[in-house]
Amino acid sequence: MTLNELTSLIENSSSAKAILTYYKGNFVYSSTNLKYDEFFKDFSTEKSLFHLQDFVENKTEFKKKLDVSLENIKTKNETDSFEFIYKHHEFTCKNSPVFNAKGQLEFVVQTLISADNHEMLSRTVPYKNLLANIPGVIYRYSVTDNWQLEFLSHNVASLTGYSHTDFLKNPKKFLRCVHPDDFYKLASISRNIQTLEHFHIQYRIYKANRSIIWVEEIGSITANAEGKKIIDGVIFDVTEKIQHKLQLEKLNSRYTLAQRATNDAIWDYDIASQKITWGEGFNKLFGYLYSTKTYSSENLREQTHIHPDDEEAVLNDLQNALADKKISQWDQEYRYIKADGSIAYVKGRCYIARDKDLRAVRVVGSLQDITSEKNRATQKELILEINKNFDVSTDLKTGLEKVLHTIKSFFDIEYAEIWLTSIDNNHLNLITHTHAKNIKLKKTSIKRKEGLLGKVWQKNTKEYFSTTNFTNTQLLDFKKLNGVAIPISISNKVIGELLLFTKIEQIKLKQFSQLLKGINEEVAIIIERKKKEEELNTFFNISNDLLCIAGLDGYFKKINPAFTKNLGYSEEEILSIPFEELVHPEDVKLLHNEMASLAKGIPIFQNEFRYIHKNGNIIWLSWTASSEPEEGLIYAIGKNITATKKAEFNLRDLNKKLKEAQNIAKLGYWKRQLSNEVSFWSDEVYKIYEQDPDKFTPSFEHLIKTFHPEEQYLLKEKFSEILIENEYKDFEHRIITPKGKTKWVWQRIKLETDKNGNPTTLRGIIQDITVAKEKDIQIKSSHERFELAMKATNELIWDWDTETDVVTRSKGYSTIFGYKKTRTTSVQGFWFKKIHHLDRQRVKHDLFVTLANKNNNKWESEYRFIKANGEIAHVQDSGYIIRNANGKAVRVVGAVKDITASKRMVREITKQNEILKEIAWIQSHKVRAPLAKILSLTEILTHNDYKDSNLTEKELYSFIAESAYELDQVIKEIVLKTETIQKHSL
Amino acid sequence: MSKSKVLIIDDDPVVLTLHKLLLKKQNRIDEKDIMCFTSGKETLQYFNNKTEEDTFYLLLLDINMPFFDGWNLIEMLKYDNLKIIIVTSSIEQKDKLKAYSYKRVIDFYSKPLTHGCCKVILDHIA
Repeated sequence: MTLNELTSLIENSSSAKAILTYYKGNFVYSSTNLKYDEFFKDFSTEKSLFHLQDFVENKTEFKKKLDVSLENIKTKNETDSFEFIYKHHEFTCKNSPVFNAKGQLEFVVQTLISADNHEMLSRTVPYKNLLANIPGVIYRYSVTDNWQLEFLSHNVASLTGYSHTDFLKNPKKFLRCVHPDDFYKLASISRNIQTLEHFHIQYRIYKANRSIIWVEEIGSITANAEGKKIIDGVIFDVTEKIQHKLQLEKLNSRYTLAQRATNDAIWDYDIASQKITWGEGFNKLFGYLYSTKTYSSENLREQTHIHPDDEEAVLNDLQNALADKKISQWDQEYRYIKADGSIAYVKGRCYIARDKDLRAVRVVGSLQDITSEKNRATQKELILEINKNFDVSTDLKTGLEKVLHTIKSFFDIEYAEIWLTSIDNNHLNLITHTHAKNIKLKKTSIKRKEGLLGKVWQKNTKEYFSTTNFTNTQLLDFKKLNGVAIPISISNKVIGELLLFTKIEQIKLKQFSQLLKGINEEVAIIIERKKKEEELNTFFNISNDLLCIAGLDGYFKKINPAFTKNLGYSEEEILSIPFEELVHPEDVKLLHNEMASLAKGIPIFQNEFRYIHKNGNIIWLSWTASSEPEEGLIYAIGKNITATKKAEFNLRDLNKKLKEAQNIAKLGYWKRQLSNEVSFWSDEVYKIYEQDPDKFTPSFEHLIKTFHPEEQYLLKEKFSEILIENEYKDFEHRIITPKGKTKWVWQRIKLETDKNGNPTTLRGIIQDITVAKEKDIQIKSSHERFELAMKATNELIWDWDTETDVVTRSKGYSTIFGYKKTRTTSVQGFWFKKIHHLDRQRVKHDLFVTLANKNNNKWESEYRFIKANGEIAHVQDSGYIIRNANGKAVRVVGAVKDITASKRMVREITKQNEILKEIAWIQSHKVRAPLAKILSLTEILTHNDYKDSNLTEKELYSFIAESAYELDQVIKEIVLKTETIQKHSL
Repeated sequence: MSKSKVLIIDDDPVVLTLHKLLLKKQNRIDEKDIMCFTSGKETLQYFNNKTEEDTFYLLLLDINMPFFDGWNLIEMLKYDNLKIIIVTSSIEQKDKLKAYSYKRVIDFYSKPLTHGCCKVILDHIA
């Protein structure tokens, strides 16, 4: 048997036992049981240091007896006992050997047996049992002059720490142990000993170790046969009980204070007594006045005040929790009807106390008013729902419709309406409602101060009402409803009203209308935001500029319709591709640079990019953008500047062309501030003057040298004498180039003045007109020649300026046609009128058709013309057409020839020709016919060809005669015709 | 072998007689195959009424005839198997050019016809 096994054997023994280990001829204490320890507990708290021999009164004797006993065991291998005195008590020490498997001594089990026990054992069993079972100290005093302790149970030592003997030797010792503050209790008994029969007191005593314990003493006072008072009593250690009581009192006190201090309502349900104690919190929180009164569970249901809709579920759940032995805590949230009828949301929690069989015996719980919290949560949930109602795609009206339905789903509402103020803030208009669609509402718009809504609008405070007095017959089921009109306001400005109709009582209506307060603020913000959003969206959608939100990830997030309009792609196409794909490849690098700036939060301003339209055209967009790098977003406005760009390019082109034109036209620009001696010359001016810009300074001194000596006076004159202020004046003069060449220039000069009329600036343009001037001179000379030619010719020469309709005619006009005026201002007004009426339309038509034909530069016509003397002249008119750069006829120079005589001659010749033709025909046909016959007859006669025929010679001769006669007739006819020709010739 | 006939058309009966005589004198054609008509109308009637088939006709046609001249006849003759020789007193070039403008006109002679002319004329029916 091992030491452990042996230790476990003695551990639960009712006797005080110890195990001694035999090792190398010596015995060592190895373990002791609880009884053994208790036996010596007053003397040492350090069990490990405990050695019995250290505490016995006569250690030497004890040691000697123990050594002898152990030696006996070694030699006899038998149990050995000896007696010793410990704390004035006699004990027997019994030592029993324990051998190992080899029969060697290994342990000794030592048992301490009190001699008193021996004594007790000798007494009666009932008394022994009584003494053994009574937890207190039993005593008997006989009251004499000196109190005589007749009996004292031995357990007084464990109660007081003093030995039984101590008290026996000194019966009053116990009194000295009593706490001074409680001594009076014992003194009272002593004083009343003669009258008292029973007493029951509690008091404190000092133990031997000076610790204080509470004891309870119950005693009875009797008198023996001799009349002596005998006190029989029992003293219990009630320290734990008293302490528990005190602690309980303290706890109760704390509980009461805690109840007062807490915001929770506490209740205590004693299941055994079926009583519930309600804490003060019920008054404070819910308005019930029962304070800490106790109610029986019979009317428990009435007292719970749980909302009827929640009551069954809550109580069932609690009952289930009580029945479930594993549950010690129960939590539940439910609605609670307050004393004023309003509803509170509560969080119930209780702890279940169970007996040893785990049956619930007591439940202590608390109710926490979580209405505010719940309301906040409801508000939060409602706000969340309302916010959901207004997603990006929802318009204000639809959103508000959803809001009403959301509010309806949260509260016990019959109907709801939302009214909003008009833009001019003069009317309140019904925007949406939850009435049946077939209901035609009496009023959908009201003015300020009009009716209930007008009042609410005016005061900006909610109004409760009842529909009992409503006169709107359409809304029959409005009767007996309660309602509230709640202003929807933002920054104290009413922007609308929420109108709710419900069957619930006003108190509850007030309760949730309070709840709606925060929501109304939210709705107000949403309405304002949505209104602005819709306004913004309107601008966003109608804007011709490209408005967008783009991501730093390179994609557009939101674009307005201008994108589609300007780039040709659909919205889906634009949103689905990186925006750099729309940018002209040559501008992508620039785009990357700008994106890098935007990524750092640096805005860009009017940056121009080329985009490619879906049809392939290039679109110029000017972008102004700022970014929110944290959000990864870019807000940008693009302007289509394609037209501007084109105009810019055109302008550049025009400037280039202008420069070229100036160069070609030899036109220059100059300016001189009169305060400055030196003028500004454009490049072309230098070219005209043939001066080197690097060497020549256009000062007055230098300039005058370039002027032709005959025209230098122009520079010497005062400006005011040759120029009119602020008006252009033209000059033509000659200049001398450095090479000595004379050039003609034309200048248009303006003298500008300040607001006071003082000359400040000379501004002018100059053109080299040398070539034109030379041509002019040539033209002049040519004109002179023309004039002379006109005088010399016999034809009528005319010069018609088609733009002024002025015709200049030569002398022939009067010499040939008899008209005196050689210059008239109208072709149509005069010349056409003199054309023979049968020819007039033809001539007119031919002339204007020819003039209109840009490719035709010559016109010719013959017609009859009425001369001044009324005779008709046949004329041949022809004109050469001069056209301007556009091909328009600007001048026609022509000649009119009188062909009347030649015309007549031609006619006569023609007639003669006819006669001659006739003669020729006669000659050919009529003359030759008879002649041919004669020739033929002659031939026949000559050759006698007739002889073989039936013709006779005579017949042939008669044929000849006939033919000759015929010929003669023809010749006569010819002679006659010839005479006719001669007559015509004459 | 198909037959050939010579038709002389002239308003002057003397000319008809003389031309027939000259042709006969060539001894290359029977007298019965020489037919004379004094007008274009008469010639047309002949062609309209004729019964012989496969006959080749050679017309010696005068131009200048009253009412229905030689040009009219050329225009109106629909018979295919024929050739025309103009025999006229006209010496004008324009008449000659006009005559040759007709496909069926194969020769042009100014009167009077000689034996040599008649010989060449009859070569066309040889």
